[in-house]
Amino acid sequence: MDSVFLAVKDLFTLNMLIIALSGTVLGMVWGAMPALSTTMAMALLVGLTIKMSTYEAIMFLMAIMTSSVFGGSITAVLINIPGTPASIPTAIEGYPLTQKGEGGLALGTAIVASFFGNWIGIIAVIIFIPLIMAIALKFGAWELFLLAFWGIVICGTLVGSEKPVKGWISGWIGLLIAMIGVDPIHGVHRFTFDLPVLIDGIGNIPIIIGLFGLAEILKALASPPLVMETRPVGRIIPPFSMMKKHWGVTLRSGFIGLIIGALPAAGPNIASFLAYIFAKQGAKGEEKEKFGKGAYSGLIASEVANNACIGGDLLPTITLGIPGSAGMAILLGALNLHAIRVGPALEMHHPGLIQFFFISLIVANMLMYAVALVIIKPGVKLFTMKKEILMPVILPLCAIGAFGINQSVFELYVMLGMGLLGWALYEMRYPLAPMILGVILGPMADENLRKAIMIFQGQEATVLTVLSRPIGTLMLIVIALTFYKGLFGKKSR
Amino acid sequence: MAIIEELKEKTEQETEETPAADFFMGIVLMVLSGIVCTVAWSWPRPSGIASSAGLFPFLIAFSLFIMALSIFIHSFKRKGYRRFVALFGVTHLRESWTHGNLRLCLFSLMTVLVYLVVILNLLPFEIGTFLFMTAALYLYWKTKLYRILIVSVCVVAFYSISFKVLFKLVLPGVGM
Repeated sequence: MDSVFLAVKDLFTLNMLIIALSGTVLGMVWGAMPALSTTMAMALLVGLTIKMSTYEAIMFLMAIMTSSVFGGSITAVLINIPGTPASIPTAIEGYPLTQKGEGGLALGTAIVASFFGNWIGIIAVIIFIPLIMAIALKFGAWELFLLAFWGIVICGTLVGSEKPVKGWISGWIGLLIAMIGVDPIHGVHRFTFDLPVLIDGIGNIPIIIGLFGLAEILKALASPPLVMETRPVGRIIPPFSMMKKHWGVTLRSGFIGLIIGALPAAGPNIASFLAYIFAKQGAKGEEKEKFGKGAYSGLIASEVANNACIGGDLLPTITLGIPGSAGMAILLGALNLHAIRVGPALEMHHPGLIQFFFISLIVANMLMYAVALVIIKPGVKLFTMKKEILMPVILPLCAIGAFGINQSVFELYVMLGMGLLGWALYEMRYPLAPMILGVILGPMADENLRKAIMIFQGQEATVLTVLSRPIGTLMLIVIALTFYKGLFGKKSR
Repeated sequence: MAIIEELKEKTEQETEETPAADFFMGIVLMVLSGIVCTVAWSWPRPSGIASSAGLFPFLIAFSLFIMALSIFIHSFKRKGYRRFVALFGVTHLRESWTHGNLRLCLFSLMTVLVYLVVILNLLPFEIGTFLFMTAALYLYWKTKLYRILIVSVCVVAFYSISFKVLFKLVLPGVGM
């Protein structure tokens, strides 16, 4: 109870409310703009959190994440161009409704569905975080190494679904980048090339901004312009009967979103598609006929799932330090800036912080709902701004974010290098999310592997002793199965 | 429906075979991982190989070498080397240039490099960013000059005020 009080105490300040509101507005506008993604929003705006307190930074980033996931559906419904990939199913069902003159109602349904989706995530976070943390406290160095390693492997398998080996390669490159700097156990200089700037390693934020900000800018500038046409919005608030009619789809999609979100780096994109497919398969009679022509159940499934995913994403991020999505990897990067190391011992080291995560999700959800209702109609012109205008405007933001942390020109060049690498890898069909996971989880994997080996050597352990650790052995089996699925499993999208 | 077509196209693009790129990446990654293996092996091992600083990088680089080799062999079977060489052929380059793909890529690359490497090294943030934005918007947006100037001034003022004054951040550029 004391922890909850600590968390709430910091919430009701004017600063915090302004930060929450600006995060919500920025996130929604960002998510709505077709060339900008949730991850990009977080990557570029993370620079703003440098001078904020830890709680303010969490509030700001959670508000951005929550509202930008919904923001993606605004342009998906109104102009048939999804703001984020997770909103593609929303566009498939939402735009035909706009063509029928029900655009406002479709958007209103999307807002309410997102609101419910977020609540499903919030409830799951409140229930499961203490449970997972209790289990995670039993993890030793060996289990922590296996967990970090599995996080990268599963991420590579999921996002590189057609060619998991490309996902793994991306993750492995990230792991190698994470090895740059002084080794924490023996103090050996690794890949520093006698350069003082490399002694502390490469900061996560310039890498994140390069991979998810600059690379996106290069991609957008090098692709042909989009044609955007707007239509009138009309009535927004949906009748209560609408959600009541689709409660089954809502619950099922929320559950899908949670499960997918909890898998490392399998974020809202996969969740919304999966929930949409399930909704389509589960639809009967007249509703089934409507799919592809404007089915509210398809729209609700997609929106509930991609918002419930946020809660799911938070579960492994807070309890184990394994980011549930690329956005969560950025949140971890921001927390590192504030010297916060998440994981099973978080409550011991930072009392009240976990509860603040819950509360920030609730506040972000409420604000998302309110801001969405207010800005949708007047904001349509802004949401449809051309990328040819946006990209030159965003580039200085990348520079500010990368430079601002340490006022280092070197980090500006790191961002540039990572942007070029990210762009090249994208063109060669390599996913980028595993790389950022590799960068974030690399030190954890390296340190814990060596600690585990030293412990095993001290105990004169045999292979059998190592295999007698149930959690570790279970994780070894899961890793082997993940590799097996990636190499020989049925390739499906 | 346009969106479904777009989705199909995107999915096809993501799943298409890229033998030329795989051939190139296979070689680059094999060389890189080979170097990392050699360097990691040479690092000091105060308490044996098992806990040495080079253990993890060595294991990662070794497995990366195997993955790169698999990609290389896969691309080789699909005549990746021929396609890779063809990418630098006069016909392909001329075609890319005419269709605008290559031009757009080079253009966007130049835009980013000029701003980050040249402008921010020569000018203060506000002046440099204003000049960059005016030029970039003129080239990409292709609208009336007064609109471009208004947008450039507003954006630079917004960045400068919000980051310098509100967030107390040091901005990049000369004289920071």
